Formats: sequence, structure tokens, C-alpha cells
Amino acid sequence: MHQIFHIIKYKLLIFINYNRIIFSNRQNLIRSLLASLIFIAFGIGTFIFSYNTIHFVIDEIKIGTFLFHRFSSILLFVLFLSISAGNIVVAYSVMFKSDEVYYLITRPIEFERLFLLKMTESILYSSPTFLLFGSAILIGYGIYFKLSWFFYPFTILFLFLPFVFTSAFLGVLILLVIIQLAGKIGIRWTIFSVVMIYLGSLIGFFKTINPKDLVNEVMKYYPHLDFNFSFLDPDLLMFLPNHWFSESLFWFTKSDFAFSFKYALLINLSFVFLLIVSILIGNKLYYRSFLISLDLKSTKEIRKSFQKIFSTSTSVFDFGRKSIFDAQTEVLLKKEFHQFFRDPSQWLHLGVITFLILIFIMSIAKVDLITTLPFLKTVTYLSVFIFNSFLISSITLRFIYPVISLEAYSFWKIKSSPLHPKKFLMIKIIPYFLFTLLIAEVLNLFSHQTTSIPFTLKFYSFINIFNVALTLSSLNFWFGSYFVTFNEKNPVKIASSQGATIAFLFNIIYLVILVVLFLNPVNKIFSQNSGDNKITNPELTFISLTLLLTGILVNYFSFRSGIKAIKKDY
Amino acid sequence: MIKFQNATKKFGELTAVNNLNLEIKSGEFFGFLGPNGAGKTTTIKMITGLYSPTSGKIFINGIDIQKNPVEAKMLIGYVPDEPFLYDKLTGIEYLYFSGGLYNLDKSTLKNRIDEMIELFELGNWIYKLTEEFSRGMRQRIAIASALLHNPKVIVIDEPIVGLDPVSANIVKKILRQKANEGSAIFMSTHLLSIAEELCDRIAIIKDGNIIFESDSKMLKEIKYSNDKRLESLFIELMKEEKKELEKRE
Repeated sequence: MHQIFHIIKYKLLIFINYNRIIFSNRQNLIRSLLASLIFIAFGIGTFIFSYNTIHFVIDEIKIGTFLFHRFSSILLFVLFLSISAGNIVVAYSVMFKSDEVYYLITRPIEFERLFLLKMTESILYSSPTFLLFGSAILIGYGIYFKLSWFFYPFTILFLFLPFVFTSAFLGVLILLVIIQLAGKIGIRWTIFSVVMIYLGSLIGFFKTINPKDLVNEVMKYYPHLDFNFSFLDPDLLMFLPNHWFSESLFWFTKSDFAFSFKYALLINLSFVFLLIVSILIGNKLYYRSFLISLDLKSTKEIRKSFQKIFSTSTSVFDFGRKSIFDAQTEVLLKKEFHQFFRDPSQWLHLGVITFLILIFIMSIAKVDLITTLPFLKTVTYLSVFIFNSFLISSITLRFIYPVISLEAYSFWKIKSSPLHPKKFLMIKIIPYFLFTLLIAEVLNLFSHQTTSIPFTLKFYSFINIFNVALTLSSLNFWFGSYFVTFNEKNPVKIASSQGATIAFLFNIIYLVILVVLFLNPVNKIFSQNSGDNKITNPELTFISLTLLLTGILVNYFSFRSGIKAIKKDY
Repeated sequence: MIKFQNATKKFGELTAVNNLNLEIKSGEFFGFLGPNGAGKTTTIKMITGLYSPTSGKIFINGIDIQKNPVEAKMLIGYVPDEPFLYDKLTGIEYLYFSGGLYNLDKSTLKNRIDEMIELFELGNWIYKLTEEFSRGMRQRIAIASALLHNPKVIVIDEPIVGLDPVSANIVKKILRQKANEGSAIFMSTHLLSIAEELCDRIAIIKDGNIIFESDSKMLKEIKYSNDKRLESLFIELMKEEKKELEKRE
């Protein structure tokens, strides 16, 4: 353990020195203080949002506490899978790709200790942000249900954190298995198998619980919707941590603490179990996996496949081939393309996001607004629209925020070349924007195809998803260039830095503004008679134009910020 | 070709380069010497547009790099001290990328790349990703990429560091040849033997100030004296500077 503490001591020293540099500069100090204030403000915002959402769902829509907790369980399941999938990527870059690992592995340190250190680092990487938002949501929940003070430390320490860590440990374990398998059956088949397993888990989960059937069954007991209808639960649920989490919350609100603690105990036991298993397996497999990852790097199976497809003399991406663009545009586009598709942390994450989008499209495409209540229709419609916008936010934050920083140490070539900064920025941002726009419109098309949505809303969704894509791409590009750092070339680390977290918070504000803007006019449209088939709506036209103008303004400022970033001393 | 007019670069309180006035003519091989942290790389970064001077001006062939950066950079070929390349591109892709930035047309570029592959003896390495390259190989690619557009001005920071003797010899020969063909070469180094061997003129910078400047006649005398005079001179100058500083304190 002495070695681990020694390393941690110097990591702390680096952290202190880094902050000393920040605090010695007034501009940096103000920036950090503002960032902290923004974090606090968003924590408060999340709390208000959580409180009001629970109030709305239980008091306005009147779904009852049982269904509320079952829906929470579904969200927690998606969160669980997302954290474990996300941590596969983060753990890969922290445990196998970072310069620090290459340095430490050459020192006389036991591999087991190194594994423990790096695994903890990968798990703690985005935990502070998770903790802030998780706590804010749980506080909103506790205050709504008027729970005692004991609820807060109990849920945060014994439910939320072990839940997140269980999922993250699972991610690390899956990563080790992926690398071992990749060494045997090849990386393509391994990734394909893992994606299939995740996909199967999601489809299996939704097929088993079938939310629509559950709602219909529970509604038979209307108005007694707060009873415990667990006899309707499928057996599979009893083995899932998301179910234990929501059950523990449910029984806490009923003041049945014995049940609540029983479920909390299950989560904590699974956390301890996975921790022990991770350490045992990690001790055995980490170094072997490290060597395999090096071997995979040198064989570069996937890169070769990409090269075969994209770099043969017949491919448009081949540098030797003539192009319709001018020379500068052509080489910048080709460089961007190859850099993206030869970097596993880029295309792997793109794969995960595409997979999530496919799941979403598959599950949402057949959902119809069966209810006759206009307000419920409005809520369903807006939930889908906001979820689409949230996906766009995640994509732009992950892929557009780091674009300038990713030039990293190699940027000297472009900076010292006769290339106009404006041209460079345009070439850099346009492909990503077009890609985002394509995903946005595809999402919009599939999620709003149901016949019960009036054509007017379909029309405005089409326009406004463009506005959302424009604004969020520009906003995240703006923040990415404002917080530009050329010292880090890992896109995952850049996209989860402090600047990216602040950008994410502004994304959330934008999404909340969208809800506020659309709630009333959309509700009016759903309340109108179906015979009224006007395509345009003055109120929605005004909102759409306002959003377009906002997008253009954000785009203008993001561009200015980008120019400033690349003109900075390098 | 390169002209510094009272060029100064400050980082907060620290003056990295102070009121620099220099002129390097075409066909001249200029050596810029100095101890670590003297301001050599900062000066080079100002020439290539990576830093903007706090005050003063820098002209490339009469073009102000601050006012017309694109035109000025068109004339420059730059090789940094650490040749970081885009590691997900192969060597040949990197060369195409570099040539494209200077708007070279495809057939000219292809011919130039073929020449460079032969000149720098890049062989089959050129088809591997640059992340697999040794430092020497990266340095060779960086230099080759800087020469693709036949620059009138070559700015090179520590060209020999990390190169094996064969690569070093190739680089030295090529740089000397470019100077003979009329390019102005601004080379920063702390290897005195290289400066002695290649340069027509040198200047020594310390703490941002030029403390010694030789004309070509003086350097020739130093070169042919055969008693490591440049090294003695350098050490002497450093000692004098230290004494001067102590006196002031």
C-alpha cells in the first residue's frame, strides 16, 4: 500500500500545484469561481427540476407512487447500462492508454496495485458530477415526500454511490473480458458480441417488464394507485440493482424501513461482491490484458479494416486521389476523417451512441399517444422531443466540444501553415454539424411518425430539431474553444473536463427553456379539434424564429471564440 | 529575408525576448545559439506565427507576419524542436496533408513526395502510422514536410537532437544544400559543433537578449581555428553574463 499512497501523494501535489497556478492568475481565479457558482446553481436547478417533476407526475398526471417508482426503475436500468458502457471507454483510456500507465508499468510497482489505482481513478473520474446531480435529485425527492433527515445520508451513501460504483465495476470487468476475448477471437467479433449482449439486455428488459401492460394492469385499480402492486412484477426484476434501488425508495416513502434497508443491503452486497471480484480478476488479468492491448495496438485489426475501406487508391478518402475541393479543404477533411476513424476511443463511443439511438428509435417508433387527455399527449410529445434534444446534446458535447483541443501537440503544423483561421474553423466544424443534423432529423423522423401527432407539430419538430442541432453544436463548440487545451489528446478526458461539464449544464438550461417555450402552444394544438388542419401556427412560428435567431447568434459567438482560440499563443 | 524590428515577447512579468533586431539574408545559414530557456524557441515561434510578439515587428521577405500571416507563412518551412505529427496518419498521408496546406497541386506534390522519400531514405516506413515512428523518423518526416513547397525561409529548431548519425548527416547535407540554393535558414541549436560546421553567421541569446553576434568573417576564423574556439567563446560569454548579473544584484 505504501507505493499507492506514494503515488496518490504526488497526484495530490500535482493537483495542488495546478490549482496554485490557477489561483495565482486573477482571470483564471474568476473563471474557476464562476465555474463553481455555475455548478452550485445547477445543483439547485436540478433539485427544483426534480421536485417539480415528481410533483407534476404524481399530483397532475396522477400515476400513483407504485408506477412512479417502476418508471424510476426503468430510468435507473438505462442509467446502470449507460454508466457501465461509458466506463468501459473511460477505463480503457485510463487503464490501458494513458501515458501515466506506460510510465508506471516500467517502475517496480506490483501490477495488482497499479490495477487498483487506475480502476479507482477511472471510476472516480466523473463521480463528483454524478454525485452532485444524484444528490440534487434525491433531495428533491426527499422534500417532495417529506422524508426525515436520515433519508439523505442513507440514500446518497448506501443507495446512490454503491449503485453507481456497482455499474462502474461491472464496466471494468467487461473491459477486461473484452480485451481477453479480443486476444482470442479478434476485436471485431468481441465488440460485436458485447454490443449484442447490451442490446439483448435492453430488449429483454423492456420485453419482460412491458411498461404499457403494467400501466394498463395498475390502472384497473384506479384510484388506489399508491398500493404495492409488486405481484405484477416479473421475476427477473428481483435480480436487478435498479429494481432494488427503486424498491428501497418506495418502501422508505411508506415508512417501512425494514424493506427499504433490505433492498439497500442487496445493492451494497452486490457492490462489495463486484469490488472483490474486480480485484481478484484484475490481479490475474490486468497485466495480461495490458500486454494484449499492446498487441492489439500493433496488429491494429480494425484500423487495417478501415484502411482497406477508406485508404485504397479507389477511395475518396485516399490522400493521393484528386478531389473536388481545393487542396487545403481536401487534406483537412481527409485528415479529420482518418483521425476520427483510426482512434478507438472515437469510433467506439460513436458506436455506443449509435446503438443507444437505435434502441431509442426502435422503442419509440411504435409508441402511440393512446391517451385522450391533451395534457398527457403534450407531456409525451415533449418528452420525446426533449429526449431527442438531449441525445443531440450528448453527441455534440462528446464529439464537437473536443475538436479544437484534439489538434493537441500536432497543431503547430496547421498554425504555422498559410491557412486562414476562418477557413480552418469552417472545415473543422461543418462535417460535425452536418453529421449532428443528420442524426437529429433521423431521430425526429422516427420518433414523431406516429399518426396521433398532428401534422402541424410534425412540421415544427422538423424545423426546431434543426434549430436545436445548430444551437447545441455551436454552444458546445463555443465552450470547447473557450476551454481549449492542447495538452490533452484523449477525447474522452477532454469531453469530461470541467469546461465540458459547464457546457453540459448550459445544454440543460437550453433544454429547460425548450420545455417552457413549447409547453403551452403544443398543449393548445393537442386541445384543438382534429378537424382544424392548418399547417402553420403563429405562436410556434414565432418560437421557431426565435430559436433560429438564438442558434445563429450562438453560432456567431462560437465562431469568434474559435478564432480567438486558434490565434492564441501556442 | 527575415527581419526582426525591436521584436519583444513577454509572458506576464517575464521578458522572454527583449527588443530583438536581426536580419538574415537569402542564402544565409544563420545559427541562433543560447543556453536552455534563453529565448531561442520563443523567437522561432514568433517567426512562424505560433506566438505573436508583444511589441515590434517581424518581416518575411518584406511581409509583416502579423499583418499578412497567410502570405508570410507561404514562404516558410518550419520544423519544431519536438516533431509531433498527427499520429493517426501514415507518413505518406502526413506528407500529402502538409503539401495540401500549401496548396500544392496533386501531381507536383506527388513528385515532391517521391523526391523526399528518396532524399530522406524513408523507405517502407512511409506507409506506417506515424505513432509507430522513432523520434529520428518523425524528425525526418517533419523536415521533409517542411521542404515540400520549396520554402524561401527555413526555420528549424534543434534539427539534430535525437537523430542517429546517418539521419543527422542527411539532414545537415540537405540544409546546407538549401542554403546554397538561396533559402535563408534560421536554425536554433545548443550544439555548438553543428553551428560551427553549418552556419555562415551566428548570434548568441541569453535571457532574451542578444549577447554576441558574429559576422561571417569572424565565424570563418572561429571555424578554421581548430581549437574549439566557439565552445570556449560560448562558455566565456556565459561566465561574463553571470558575473554581470551578480554585480547588478
